Amino acid sequence: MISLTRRLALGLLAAGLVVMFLLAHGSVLLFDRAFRDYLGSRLQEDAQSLMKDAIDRNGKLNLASLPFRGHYNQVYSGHYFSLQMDRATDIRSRSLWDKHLPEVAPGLSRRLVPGPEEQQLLVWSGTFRQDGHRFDITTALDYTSVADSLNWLRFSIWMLGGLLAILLVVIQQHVIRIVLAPLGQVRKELELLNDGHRLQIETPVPVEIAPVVNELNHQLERIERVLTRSRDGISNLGHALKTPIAVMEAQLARREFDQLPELRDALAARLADIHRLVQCELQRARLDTRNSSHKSHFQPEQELPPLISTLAEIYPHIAFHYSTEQAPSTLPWESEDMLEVLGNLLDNAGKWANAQARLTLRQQQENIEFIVEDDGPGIAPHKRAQVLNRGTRLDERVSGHGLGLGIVEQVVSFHGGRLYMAESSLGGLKAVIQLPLSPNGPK
Amino acid sequence: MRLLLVEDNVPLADELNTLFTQNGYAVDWCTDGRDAAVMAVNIPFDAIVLDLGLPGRPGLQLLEEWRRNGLDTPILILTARTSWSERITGLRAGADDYIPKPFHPDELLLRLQGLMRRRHGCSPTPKLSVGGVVLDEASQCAATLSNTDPVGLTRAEFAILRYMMLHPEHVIPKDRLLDHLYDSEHERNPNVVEVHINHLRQKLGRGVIITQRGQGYRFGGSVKPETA
Repeated sequence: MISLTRRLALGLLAAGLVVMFLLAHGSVLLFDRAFRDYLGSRLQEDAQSLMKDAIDRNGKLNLASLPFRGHYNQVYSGHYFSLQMDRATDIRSRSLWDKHLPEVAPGLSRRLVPGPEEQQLLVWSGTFRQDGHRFDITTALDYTSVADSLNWLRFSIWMLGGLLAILLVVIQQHVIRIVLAPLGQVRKELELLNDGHRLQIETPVPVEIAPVVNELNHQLERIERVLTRSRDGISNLGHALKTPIAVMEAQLARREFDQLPELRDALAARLADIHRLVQCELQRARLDTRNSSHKSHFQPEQELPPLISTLAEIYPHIAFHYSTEQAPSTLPWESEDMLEVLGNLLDNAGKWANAQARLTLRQQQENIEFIVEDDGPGIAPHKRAQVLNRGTRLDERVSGHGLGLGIVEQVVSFHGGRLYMAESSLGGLKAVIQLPLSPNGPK
Repeated sequence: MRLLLVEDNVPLADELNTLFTQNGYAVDWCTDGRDAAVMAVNIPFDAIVLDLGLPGRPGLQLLEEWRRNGLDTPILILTARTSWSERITGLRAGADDYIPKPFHPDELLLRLQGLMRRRHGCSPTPKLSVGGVVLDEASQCAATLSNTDPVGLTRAEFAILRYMMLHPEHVIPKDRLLDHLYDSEHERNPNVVEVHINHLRQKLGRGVIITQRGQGYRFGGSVKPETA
């Protein structure tokens, strides 16, 4: 993953360091040049005064009058001169002791010249003519201390520059965080979108990001439209397919087919397949593309009685009981889903029961359990898995298309719950659904 | 038994027409909700089979309106909308039963039978048994106490006998019998009814249908022959 923040930080750091390096180097160079110019002119003045001092009032060379001032007399003091008159007489300052100053081109030497005791000398040499004599004078100055100071200066500027660069990066990071804060908001909104609670991003964002967010909103609108269209499409197609299937079922029941029982059964089985597929897809489309912008809830106290009375009308010989005392009065699921699940389970119970069926809602820790029991024949344990698997119909005599359980399973797994079967104390089958109260988002 | 079939899908309606006719029902068919609204009120149907997705007027609205106006004909809803919440809505709107499409024709017939039996206070057993006469609606055979071997009936005989067995205490005028046995497109010939009733008497014994002169017919049932 590319991190914008890290890239910006690295870029800024590199730029800062380069700038600081150039700054340090450049300023030291300039200082160095200025110092050398200044010191060079001092050396030249020294040479001139030496020459003047070497000639006495009578125009004779008088070495004794040479200014053997303190620092020219102290050995290796860092101040040196040598003087040649007419390329013969060679006089050196005492500070040079037994060393000679190297011969250099006239003027200020471009480079520092190695001197005694590893001193770095700034050397000036020149030729003067006076009263028919030729003076070659070389003056030199120990530049080491200046060079050291300059190095120290360079080092200091580097350090300071490095610190400044780091400070800049820190500030930049902070600024970036502030600037990118709206993006964090946008991300949170997108999460809400994912849960289906929102359909547009409404966070105010900086001008630079606004086009992206606008485009995103357009896409979201488009997706919403496409989703709605395809949901409606699947729904219409699914429902529309059912009528032709019904027609074919009716045609299969015609007397002509009594001559061809195998063909009739095969066709009926294919029709049942088609119906099952249609039903599954309808259910999935409904679950996947539902608009969950409203808070869904199911209130057993209000919504169960119509279901129970409907079932009681369908199965008048069976007594349906239900109890909801051990469950919260409002459950966080779509009532359509819950009615579908309970309707199908109770319908099955009604088909198989002898005289009674019972529904119990109760809370078990973090789960809500829906228990549907009947006093019918039940299902042998080894056949239960088979029943659960894609809603296979075990007994063709009982009406219905064997889809009920498949739909129940689909809805239950959508809500992250599970369905299992056991034996009921009433003697028949007990179907138990466990739904987690706080699901980690629908699957 | 006369049915109103409200279904806009022509192939399905054709099949259902055939199915119902074969099973001794007279069927009137309309495809539009507005026609159905008028027909249901003006003709004494024994049951209405109503598709919910109708052109003209939605089936559910039709249903509510009929019930509001006191129409108490048994109504069976036929729909592709199969979820339980929709089923509950349909039943609460006043339907007596709800069959999701697709369905097995046999199931539809059974539910229809059950619906009418309940209406006439009989229990929805596979065979209709009144006054010693046992009518098997699936095979269209009848047995009596004097002749316990089932006798096959023609479609018209079956239809007449069933209607009379569902109204055992009533005197049924010939016109009413005609109303319930023929749809509006059949030519009604009262003499044909007499012929069928004579055939029934021959098959099941003279007392099975009693003529009340000037009033109509009454279901007489069967008595065990006195053992001589």
